[in-house]
Amino acid sequence: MNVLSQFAAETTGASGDLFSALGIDWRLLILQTVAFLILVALLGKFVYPWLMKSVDERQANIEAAAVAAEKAQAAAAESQDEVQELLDQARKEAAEIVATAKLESSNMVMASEAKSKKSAERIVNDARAQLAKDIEQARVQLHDETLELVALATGKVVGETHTAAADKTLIAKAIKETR
Amino acid sequence: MARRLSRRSVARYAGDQLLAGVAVGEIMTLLAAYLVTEKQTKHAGLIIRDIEEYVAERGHVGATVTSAFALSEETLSELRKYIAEHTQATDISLHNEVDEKVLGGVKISLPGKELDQTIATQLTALKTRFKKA
Amino acid sequence: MTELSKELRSAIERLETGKELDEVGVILRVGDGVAWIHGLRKAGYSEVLQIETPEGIVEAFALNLLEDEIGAVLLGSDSAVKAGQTVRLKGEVLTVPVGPELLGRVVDALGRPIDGGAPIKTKTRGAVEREAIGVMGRKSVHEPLMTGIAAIDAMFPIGRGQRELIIGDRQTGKTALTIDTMINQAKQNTGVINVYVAIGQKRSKVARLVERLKQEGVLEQTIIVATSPADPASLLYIAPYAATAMGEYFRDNSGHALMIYDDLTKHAVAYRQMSLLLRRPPGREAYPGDVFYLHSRLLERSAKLSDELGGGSLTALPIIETQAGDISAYIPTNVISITDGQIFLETDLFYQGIRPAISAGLSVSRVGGAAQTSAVKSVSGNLKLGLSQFRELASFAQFGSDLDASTKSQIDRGQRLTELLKQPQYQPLSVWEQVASIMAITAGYFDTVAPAKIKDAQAALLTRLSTDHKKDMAELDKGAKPSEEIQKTIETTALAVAKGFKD
Repeated sequence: MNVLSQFAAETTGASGDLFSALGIDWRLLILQTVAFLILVALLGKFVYPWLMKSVDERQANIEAAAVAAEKAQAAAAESQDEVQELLDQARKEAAEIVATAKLESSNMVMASEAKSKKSAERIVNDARAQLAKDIEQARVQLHDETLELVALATGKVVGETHTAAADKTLIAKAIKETR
Repeated sequence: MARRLSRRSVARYAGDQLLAGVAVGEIMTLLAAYLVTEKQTKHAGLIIRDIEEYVAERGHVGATVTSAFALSEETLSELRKYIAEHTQATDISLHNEVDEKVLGGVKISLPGKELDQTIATQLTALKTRFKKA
Repeated sequence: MTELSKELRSAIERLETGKELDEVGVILRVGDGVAWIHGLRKAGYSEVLQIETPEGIVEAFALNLLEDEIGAVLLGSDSAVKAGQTVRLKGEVLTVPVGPELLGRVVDALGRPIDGGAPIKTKTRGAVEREAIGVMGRKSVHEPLMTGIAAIDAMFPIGRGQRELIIGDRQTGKTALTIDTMINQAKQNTGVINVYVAIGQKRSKVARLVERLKQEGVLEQTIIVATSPADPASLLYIAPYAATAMGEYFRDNSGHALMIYDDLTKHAVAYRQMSLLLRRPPGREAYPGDVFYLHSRLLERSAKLSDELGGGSLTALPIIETQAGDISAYIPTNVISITDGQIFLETDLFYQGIRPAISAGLSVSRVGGAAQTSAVKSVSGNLKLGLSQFRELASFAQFGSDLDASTKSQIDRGQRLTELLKQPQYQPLSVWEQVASIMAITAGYFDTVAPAKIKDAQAALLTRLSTDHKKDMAELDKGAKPSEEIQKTIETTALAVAKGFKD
């Protein structure tokens, strides 16, 4: 810097009229222009391409992102439709399941109603049957007891009134019948 | 080991001896000795029955008639006739047993056969055979 | 009262004693249900003898015809029988009343009612001991006897005229299987008459069975012949023969009957008791030498008759109780060799919750497909195979090791099949219900349903099919192979139901 400012100070005195009137040191200007040109050249060679590349890349990314976003939006819209469809289907199936369950339960209720009705009928019939059985049993007992009494009575009577003569006739008759 | 003789074969032997005319006492002594030796004295009654049956098959019948009252000769001869008809027996010996419990009628007992026409049996049958319970 | 006096009058009029000289014998000794009789040389084997006791006539039948005496088994209590009593020949072999008048009744081994109802008056009597039909009088078994139990109807089908043994340890569900079979005959209106013989079964068990049959409306087409352990061994001995005589009435009149002998082990034990008391020489396990003949002559009477003889049938389901699963014991091996197959019930399966606890590996039906409904036949082909493959791989399933896809699918299929074949008691399945359920698994429609939910899925499927496709199912119930249309119906319904039970 010292060299440059020294150089600038030395050159200021030589072309002092126009440029010194304007306050511009033409040597300094040329130097600065050259320096600027070197800078531009360096920038142009090293920095600018790299910068542009990154800018381009960024641009590309942004564009890609924009496209992706669009796509995503479209996909979201589509999947929402699908989801809606699935939900509708699920609702439908749920309704069917509920209907089946309702049907099954109503069938079960009907079946159990019918069963309990049948059971009640059966209980009544059983009671009737039991009554009939009891009556029949009483009849049977009476029948058997009467038989026994008849036999007992006959035995007693015969034992007392049967005579040898009557017995002889009885035996003769018995033998005749068996011949 | 010798096989034990069956009662029937023993009875057959004794019956043959009786029919051949051997004295009853002799046969019975033999039989008694056999039973004692074989330790079958309990079967004495059964052997007698078997002998009776065997002998009856060959025309010699020993019958017992049971009745409530003593039977007259007429009735006894009717019974002999009946037995002869139904068993083809040539020699019938009748024994009248009086048992009030039969109440009336007659029961003819032959070896292995019986005809029961007593009132007591009929009453028992009435009491039991027609029972419903 | 007039009726009563009329009856008494007729009894007195009918009263008659001997008309001629009868052959008589005398009781020598009596005890343990056996009477030894002297005389009666003309008595035949198994002929009925009448013992005159003060309480009436006690019947017996002659089983030991020896030179010196006859051994007769009493058909009643021996309390009234005493030595010295007279014995007469009845002149006929043992008979029991037979005919439709017995339907709905509970009788003892001699056909006498024990249900407290009116006395049974039948037009005919059948001989308890009867020769089996000859070879030419038979036809091969070709009609199915639906038990309503999917495991049996699909894998071990029983036909009309077949003898299928039900064998297993105590409390494994042997009687339960037979009850379900009886209920199914009523439910499906098959017209098959059931004859259930309880041989030495507890009276409480028989009472419960009668109650259950009444509830299910089966009693009207059932005859129950019941003997308890308190009955004399002679009654236990003749009970199955007497019951078979009752079943033969229907068989010989172009009908179909089902005999259930519960159980023949107790029958053999009663026969052993009788034989030992009759002083017959004991053989293996103290059974008499003819214990095989005891059961073979009983079971040979079950047959399918030829068309010339009316085409009737008598099917038998004898039950044998084993000890500790030993089917190679004396009586079980005897009966296995007589019958046309067996259904083996295992205690392990029972306690694992697989009820009916049928062992698919040891059970067999020798009549097989010939007696299977075409509809069930068409879907059950893969069933047995699937289950046997599952059994082979079952141990792997327990270890949960890493398995390849095909093995896993076999295990899954097997688990689902096992779940499907479980069936609650008193709920037999009709033909269409079995076909639809089995098809849902074997065709893979229920592959997405967890095995634990298979029964629920099955219930939902059957409900849907019975309400939405009643006509198709009625068609399927007729038994013919399901048409494409019906198969499609089942497929769509099953898949729809499966979605609701998705894993």
